[in-house]
Formats: sequence, C-alpha cells, structure tokens
Amino acid sequence: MNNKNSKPKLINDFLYGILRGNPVLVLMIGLCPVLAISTTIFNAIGMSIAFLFVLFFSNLFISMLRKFIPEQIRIPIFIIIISTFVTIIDYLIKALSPELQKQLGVFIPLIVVNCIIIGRAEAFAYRNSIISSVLDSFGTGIGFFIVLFLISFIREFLGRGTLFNHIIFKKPSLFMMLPPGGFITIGLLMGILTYFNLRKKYNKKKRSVNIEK
Amino acid sequence: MVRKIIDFMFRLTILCVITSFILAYVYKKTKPKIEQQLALIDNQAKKTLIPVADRFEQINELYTVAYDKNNNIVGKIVKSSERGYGGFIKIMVGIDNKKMVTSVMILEQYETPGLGDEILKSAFIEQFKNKTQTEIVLRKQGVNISAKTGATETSQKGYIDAITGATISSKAVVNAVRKALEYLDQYEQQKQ
Amino acid sequence: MINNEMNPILIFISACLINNILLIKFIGLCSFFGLSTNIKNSVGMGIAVTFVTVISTIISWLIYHLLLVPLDLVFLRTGTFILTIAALVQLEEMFIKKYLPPLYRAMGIYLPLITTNCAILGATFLNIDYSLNLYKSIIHGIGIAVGYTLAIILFAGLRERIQTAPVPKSLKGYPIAFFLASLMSLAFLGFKGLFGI
Repeated sequence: MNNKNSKPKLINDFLYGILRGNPVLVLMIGLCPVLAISTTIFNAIGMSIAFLFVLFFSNLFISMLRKFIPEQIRIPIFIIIISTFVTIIDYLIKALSPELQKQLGVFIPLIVVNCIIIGRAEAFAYRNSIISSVLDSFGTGIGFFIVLFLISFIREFLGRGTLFNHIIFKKPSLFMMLPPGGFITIGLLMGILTYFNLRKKYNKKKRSVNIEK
Repeated sequence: MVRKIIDFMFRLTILCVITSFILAYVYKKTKPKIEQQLALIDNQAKKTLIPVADRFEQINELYTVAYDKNNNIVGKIVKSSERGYGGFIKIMVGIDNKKMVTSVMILEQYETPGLGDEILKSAFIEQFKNKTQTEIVLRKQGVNISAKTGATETSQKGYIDAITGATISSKAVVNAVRKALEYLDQYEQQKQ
Repeated sequence: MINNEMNPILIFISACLINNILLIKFIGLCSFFGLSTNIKNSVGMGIAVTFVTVISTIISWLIYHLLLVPLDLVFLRTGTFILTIAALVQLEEMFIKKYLPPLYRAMGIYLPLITTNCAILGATFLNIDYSLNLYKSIIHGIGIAVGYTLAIILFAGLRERIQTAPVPKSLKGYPIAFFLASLMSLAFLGFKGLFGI
C-alpha cells in the first residue's frame, strides 16, 4: 500500500530531494563539497546557500528555456548557464563575506561540476514545468543542506569542541576535523541510514507475509 | 545537416554573448566592494599590530609605515616569511620607534594541526611583545638555540620558549620575526 | 603551500602524495566512489583523466594568461575552463570510439563523466591560485593526475578485497568504502612534512 502516490505531484517534487532522492545519502552524488566543507557549521551554511542559489537559478532558467535547447547540445548549454550563476555567486561572496570566501576557497567555482546540479538539470529541469523544477531545486537544496549540516555539526563538535564558534568543551579530538574524520563521519551516517532502510524492508516483508497468511 | 550545425552554433553563441554581458555587469558592480573589503581587512590587521596608529602608508609589498593623527610616525609593519614544517609561514610584525616588537600576526601557516599550529595561540605569540632583536632567540627547555647555526648556546639569554614537540615551527616564527627586524634595519640604512 | 619558487620535483611530489587531490584535498570524490569497484575500470579512468588534465592544464593556462588577464575578462574564468574541459572530453571520446573500440565499450558511461570530474577543474584553478608559470603548471597538473590515478587504483584494490570479507549488512557497499577511504587518507596524511613541504 503506497500512499505516497496520493500526495499531489508538486509536494512530491519538493519532498523528493529531501528524502527518497536525497542527493548525498541516497543518490550518492555531489560528494566533493560535502567532505571538504563540513569542517564547521559556518562553512556548511555558507556552502548550502551558494549551492541553493546556483541550483535554484539554473533549474529555473533551464526549465524556462527548455523549448529552445536542442537535445544534442543540451550539455554545453547546461554548463554555460550553470557556470554563469556560479561566477555570480562567486563574486557575490567575495564582495559580501571575504571570510566565507577564504573558507570555501576553490570549492565555490567547483559547484559548476557538482554532479547534483548537472544531474537535476538533466533529469528534471529539462523535462518539467517551471514550478516543479523550482520546487525540486528547493527540495534538493534542503536535502543537501540537512546532510551537510549533520556532518559539520558532528565534525565541529567533536573535532573543535565548538558549535558555530561557541566553545562547548575543551578537549576536542582533532582527528574529526582532518580528512579521515570526514570520511568516517559520512560512512557512519550512511551505515545508520542503511540499517534503518534494511529494517524497514524486513518489517514490510514480515507484514506482507502475515497478510498472505 | 549543415543547417542544424549552424543553428546549434548560433544558439550557443547567443547564449555565450548574453551570459558574458551579465557576468561583466556583475563584475563591474562587485569590484569596488571587493576591493573595499580587502582594504578593510588589511587595515584591521594592521590596526591590531599597532593600535595607536591612525592611518597606514604602504611603501612596498613588505613594508608599511604607521602614522598617528598628527602625522607622526608611530611604528612600522613588516611582512616576512620563513619555511616551517609544512610550508612557508607568513607573518606580519609590528615594530615601534624603539625597534621593539609590538605584536606578531601569523597570516598563513601549514603546520601540523594540534602541534605546530600552537604557534597561533596567544601563549606563544605573546612572547614576542616588547622584545628587541637581541632578545628574540629561541629557547628550548632552558637551552638557547642560535638562530643562525641552530647550535645550542648557553651564554646568551634566550627569551622565546619553543612549543614542546614543535621546535621547527617555533624556530621558523622566531627566524621570520628576526628577518623582519633585519629588513627594517637594512631599509633604514639604505635610505641614509 | 605550493608556490612558484618551489622546484618542479617538489611540486610534483606535493601534488601527488603530500596534498593528494582525492584523499587530502577532497576534490574529485564522485568518480572516486562511483568507479573504483574494480581495478580495470580504475586504470582506464586514471589514464583518461591524466590525458585530459595535462592538455586542459596547458590550454586553460594559455587562455587565462594570454586572453583573460590582458583583456580584464577574469570573470569568464570558470566558464571558459569548464568548456575547455568539456570540449577535450568530447574529442577524447570520439577518438577512443574510433581508434580503440574495446576500450570505449569497457568505459561506456564513464567517459562523459570525466567532464564533471572535480579533480580536473580543480587542477586548472589551483594552477592559477598558486600563480604557477606554464612549465610548473604542467608538472603540477601531471602530479595531480598521477596522484588521482594512484589513489583510485589503490582504493579499487582494497574494495575488490573487501567484497569477500565478512562485512555487517548495514555497512556493505558505500559505508565500508568510506571507512576504507578514511584509513587510506590517514596513511597519506603521514606524508606531511616530507622534504619540508
């Protein structure tokens, strides 16, 4: 009994990016910034805003212009559109918050090759209405932010003993801030998620077997 | 077939031209703000080194003169760098008119986190305050280390304690500060 | 970090081992986890990435210093670099399809994916950030590509081994791969301080 289908399409479009189609934990794409930027919560929030900016506008414009984009050259056109917005947010961040620019560094221009943005453009914005695409961009952006926030929360808390630069405890484990710590954190999160998914599947199977009886 | 290619090229070119204009506009609008931000950060950094200063005049890439409200020279700021453990450590030193160090600021470092990067902590960096060139010598466990030869000397009194387990990083900062003071001497001698 | 005054051999070692693009700088991870399930794919990907990196390093450096900087068009940097890489990957795909069909069949979907490989775009940007001249940029690019290839082949070897190991059900697949990557990253961290870099 899948009651997800009874929800209106637009709500589904929005929720997809957060749960079933969460870019990082489910689709396993766009990992580069997740591991590199998740060292502090400040970085995570800054990166998510930049990411959402690019995702929103690229989805919007690609969806608006989809009748004018021939299929054979759609990838270069996606790239041009996405790189335009990446450059815009790059200069906006430089002007408004040099500190964020210093922290994110080369990862701001790297948003242009982030699999998530090109992936959503190709799989969704190119074939769907403007409103659906915009909702999808918000959903995916929020899904991205949730994962990034969780990981940076754990890493900053355990690795620096601070939460958003407020010192919580004094003997942090530096390991969490370094690359290996990042890998372990996301591995653990995925492991936990897989565990719950497996449990859900197992329980569903049990219930359907019981019903058949 | 050829018509299709021309059509594609046309669309791509139009898109490139439009986006280039958009980006040029954004660049023009943000450029002054970006330069302003950079100057602000630079000024703030210099102000923490020599708090009594009112304005700064940059003479060359490494050397800045600090003036107070009455245009008297209250100090100088010199940038310097020295190879540390994980890369070059770049610092900025504030020097007052008596050739004493007012403060040291570490601009860039790639030392081992938790070990070498203790040089950022005030416990280490505050040691440089109000010291003259002769007093800036590394001391490791009560024994002085010559800046030039690295050999231990027991005669001269050392005044900068190294960080335990991070001798190389500590030594690099000490040498960088000495270099800054030497640069100032050289520069003033050249002027005369 | 790396600057133009460093000697080329040090730049190469720094890019390849000490600041390994995948395990230390975290750039290029999508393909790292998606592809490294067997060694053969990884070798192929490594070679393809090296080829594209070297050529795009040269072209993007030339575009930046001979075109964008003199004409004050620096803001077009992101767009032109990524389009150069996309064009090169397209050319490479056509070349392989025509002259090396078995390789083309083996690599399949992964060839176009090289375009979105953060490592290549990262290499071009880092060359600019470190203000390297053309010769050192090329060495740096090769170093990054070799570091990428080394890491991905090692990782593929580990992942192949772990397929026959008793891994708890929740950790099978990606989670255990991340733990493996963590250990590899820890190992590469040991290179820090080598030759005083």
